[in-house]
Amino acid sequence: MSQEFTPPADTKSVPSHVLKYKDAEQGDPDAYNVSYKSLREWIENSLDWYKPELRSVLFPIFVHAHLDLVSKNLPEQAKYFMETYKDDHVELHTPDLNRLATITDPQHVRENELAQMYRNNKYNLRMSSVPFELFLNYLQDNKFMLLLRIVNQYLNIQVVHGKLLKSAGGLEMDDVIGITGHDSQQIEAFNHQSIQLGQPQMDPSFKEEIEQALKERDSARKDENGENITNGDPVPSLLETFKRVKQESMTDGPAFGDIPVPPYRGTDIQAEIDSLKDLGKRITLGSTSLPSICCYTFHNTHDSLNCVTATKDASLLAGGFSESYIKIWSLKGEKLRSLRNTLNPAHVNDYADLNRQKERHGSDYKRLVGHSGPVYGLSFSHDNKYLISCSEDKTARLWSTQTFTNLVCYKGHNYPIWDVDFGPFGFYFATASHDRTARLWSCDQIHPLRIFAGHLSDVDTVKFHPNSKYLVTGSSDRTARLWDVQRGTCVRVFTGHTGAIKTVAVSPNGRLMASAGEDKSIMLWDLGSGRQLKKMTGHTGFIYSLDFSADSNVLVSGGSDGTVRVWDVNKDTHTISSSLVAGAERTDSKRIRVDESARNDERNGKSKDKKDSSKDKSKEDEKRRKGVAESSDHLGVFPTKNTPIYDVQFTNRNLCLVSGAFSSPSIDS
Amino acid sequence: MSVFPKETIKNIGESLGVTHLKDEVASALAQDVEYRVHELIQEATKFMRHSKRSKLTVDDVNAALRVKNVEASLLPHINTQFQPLYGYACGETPTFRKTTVNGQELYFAEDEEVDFETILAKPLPKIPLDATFTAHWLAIEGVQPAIPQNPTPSDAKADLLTKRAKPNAAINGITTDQVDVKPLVKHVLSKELQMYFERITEAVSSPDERLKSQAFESLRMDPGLHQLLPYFVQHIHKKVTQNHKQLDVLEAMLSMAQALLNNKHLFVEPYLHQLIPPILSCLVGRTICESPFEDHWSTRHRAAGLMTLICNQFGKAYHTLQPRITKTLLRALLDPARPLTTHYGAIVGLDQLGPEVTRVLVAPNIKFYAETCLKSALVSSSPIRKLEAQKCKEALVNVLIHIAKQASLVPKESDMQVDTAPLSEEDKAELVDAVGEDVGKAFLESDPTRQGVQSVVEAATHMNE
Repeated sequence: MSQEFTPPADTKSVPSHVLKYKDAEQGDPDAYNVSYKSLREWIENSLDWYKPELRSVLFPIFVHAHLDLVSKNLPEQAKYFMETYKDDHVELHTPDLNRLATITDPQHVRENELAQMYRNNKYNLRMSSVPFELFLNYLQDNKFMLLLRIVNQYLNIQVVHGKLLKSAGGLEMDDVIGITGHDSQQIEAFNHQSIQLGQPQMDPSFKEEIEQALKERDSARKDENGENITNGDPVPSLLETFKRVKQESMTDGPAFGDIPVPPYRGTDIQAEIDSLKDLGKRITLGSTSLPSICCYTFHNTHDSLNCVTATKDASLLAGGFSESYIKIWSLKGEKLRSLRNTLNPAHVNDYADLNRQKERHGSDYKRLVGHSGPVYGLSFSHDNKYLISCSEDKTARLWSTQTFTNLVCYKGHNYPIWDVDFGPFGFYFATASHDRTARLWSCDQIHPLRIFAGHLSDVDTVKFHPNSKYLVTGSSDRTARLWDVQRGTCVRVFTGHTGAIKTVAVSPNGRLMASAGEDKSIMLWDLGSGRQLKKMTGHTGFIYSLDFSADSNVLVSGGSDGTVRVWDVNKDTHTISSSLVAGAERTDSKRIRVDESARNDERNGKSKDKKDSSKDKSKEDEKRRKGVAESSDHLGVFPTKNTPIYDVQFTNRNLCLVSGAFSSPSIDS
Repeated sequence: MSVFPKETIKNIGESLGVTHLKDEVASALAQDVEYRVHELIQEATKFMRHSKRSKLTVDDVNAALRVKNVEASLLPHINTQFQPLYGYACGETPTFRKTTVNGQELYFAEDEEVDFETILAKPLPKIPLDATFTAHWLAIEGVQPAIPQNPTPSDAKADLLTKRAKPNAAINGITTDQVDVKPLVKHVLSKELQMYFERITEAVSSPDERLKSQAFESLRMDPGLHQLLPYFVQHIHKKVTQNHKQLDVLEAMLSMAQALLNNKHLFVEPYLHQLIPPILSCLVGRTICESPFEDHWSTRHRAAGLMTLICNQFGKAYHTLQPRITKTLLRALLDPARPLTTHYGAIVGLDQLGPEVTRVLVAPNIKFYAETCLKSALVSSSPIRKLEAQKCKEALVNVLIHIAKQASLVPKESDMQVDTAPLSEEDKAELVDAVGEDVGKAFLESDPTRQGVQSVVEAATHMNE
């Protein structure tokens, strides 16, 4: 991973002449304790001006001192050391601390991935020159050779000349990435790689056919309605809408053929027209018009339901269970009828023929049996004809929603697969696995086309970018990444979360990404610049699912706290922390420049926002006074009755579907 | 050393046929076992999280074992040959029982003997209900409909209340002079207290004067209101923000605050930060009544008195309290953009804090204030504005009178001789020059002593130089 980054130019390392051991210090098991303790005291007593920067150096020293103690077979001292000083770092590094505390044997240091990560990568820090000099002089004057050795061996302190950093190192969220072995500047440089976020160009002949079909429709409609249309049609014709939509979305998109897809079919044209019609029926959402939310509550699941998903047109609902099967229900209130196995394509000429080949009496639900382990992920194809599932049994399976049978079994991962996502145009799908990789597959190949390796821990979730050219993954290593499908390389790294990322969502306009997970906060990212736009807080439990509305103005989240929350995407306030104290000062709000083109896309939504901003402000102040720990862009919260929300998604018409399993309140909690 | 004692390791060894395990070996093993168990739990947790559960099950651990490539199942005594037994899952948590053998405590898994005959003869268990789903509207255009599927607003409110109780509890933890923060204790209000709270809040805002005064009396005297105090403070806060234009409500809330402050048994300090803002709003609010002709002036006086009471009562313990309040008020006074009503409140507030404060802070600014704000308003055509300006003027004159009075109460030795001298025209001119024409003349009408005038002039010119 590290060769992807170029080392920074002005790295200063500790002069080697000071690296002489003091024999007495080396032999003394308490040396680490003594020297760490005095370093800590010195830092706490130093000037407030330098304190934050100096403090940032404590965590890596703490980790390596602990690992050194363990390696030297001094478990007692290591344990004492851990217990005494871990409180300093609980705030930012709890997961790492818990794992490091379990290491008690030199053997474990060699085996443990986290320990190895710290040992093999240099921990990057930024400091301005004065505190750095102070720090080095302090270590040298006091002859803390052990600490100096750690600093020399495992730390990469980049000295910034000039002004003091506002908040340095470990205290700034951006710099938590020190752990992963990359520093923020390198990431920023890395995130400069150019990407194309628009919709891909259409097949010219496909486009032509659609326009032709639309023209016919429009003229037919005109004939029907006679003259009233000629004097000022209030409803723009579908053809115009089509041209406008394509014009808008295709700027900065990959060229046609960049991502090869199978040739279009007659049904694709109809699907395209239907989606255009949906566009007319779509409700515009924003800070003033909140979505309608339909909740599907599952009963009698006894904790065995793992995942739920619905089709984009709200016709089918599928659930994956721990007992290795998948169940599909119809949401239209009709029975599901599968095609018979004896179907002979030669006898099918039209839709009626096909209908005749279906079961006479359908059933309320269909059970898909095939996996041999809990099913963790489900995804419908864009035309709703296929369902892809993934499981603990290391396989992904493709199912037909016409015959309700298994079509293909994809083997390739060596460990359980956590998540799967169908590409926006079908044909491709991606999986995320415990083996720390994400993989790209096409439906017609049983072997993966691409393996995306780079995450340092489980890849927990994967989502396609709406132009099918990129993938977004979220991982237990607390980073999210954007991958180029064609090249198979990572093009963006998003760091800042303090817990595993369990869900990601990409806005339909392709410009924004939201991620959330075990740290209970949602982060919004600008894909173009790779920067964090804001952090949204309010959930009190793990967040399981996120989705953007079809117009990318509203974000909905659901999680284990049994609430569905609605967020304003366009409010670009950069809230640093929402304080609980009543009447607290307004937190610094800093507008972050959004990609110019993204702004164009959202112009409509924004101008509306501006009108309501004064109203919002008073509302927001009121909330602050009440002392609710929700960030200012929180538009609404809808609690359920003991139902953790597993999945949230928007339909094409901006209706929000959420689903979860009812859990009876347990006695012990 | 490790959470597993050596003996456990030895026992397990014996059960597998390894006897006479050395102590060092056993302790080394114990340490390793602890690490492996931690590792296993970490893996198992991943499976639990992906199944969206909050309870770790045997299945999760089995899955973790499989991922770690460990060929053993959870309960080795079932299967001593180290064959994987992945199909095994327990329906309920295994129970362990304690027994004492040769003076040693032993735990063992309960493993009942089962008679095949009876099992076979038993009727089949009931088929569990099939997993299904129901649909309902969680929200319609952002509004949660009140249907049985959704939690009732009171449930949601209870949720909110528990959230709100937290900051209060945290404050308690800190003010008790203990560095370690106490764990949050959910406190339950007794039914009686809840009823009392409802009664009082109702009575306070009722039109019945007798009921009202009884309520205040009760608040002033009752020794057992500790638990309700945060709620009362919260109530005052809420009422004031909601009804900031209804004079009678504000009056009632001020009386309530006064009663609480006067209750000797209550410990109000932790809630001061919540109590002061509503009182300040009553004091310097832009409009605190529906029509500008209502007598909001006395309400402001009342609030000023209360503010002074708080400063006197708690100023000793919190040195920054009075300076902060004075600073707030002074800022309100010296901002020409604020309305005159606010200025009035600020003047009255500062006046009540004592002549010491006004001498240093108000007197030097009177001339500036009178010229920038009052002059134009006094000749204003709007009767309201004129009245307001008049009131401000009166308040300022009062301030000066208080300063003069204090000066005459504490006569300096050197002033003893001049005390009796009559007021000369020179003095008058000096005064008008120091505090401005409008206020100066009005002050002279109150027939001050020469010494008083001199002290006022001294105070007013002090800062200007």
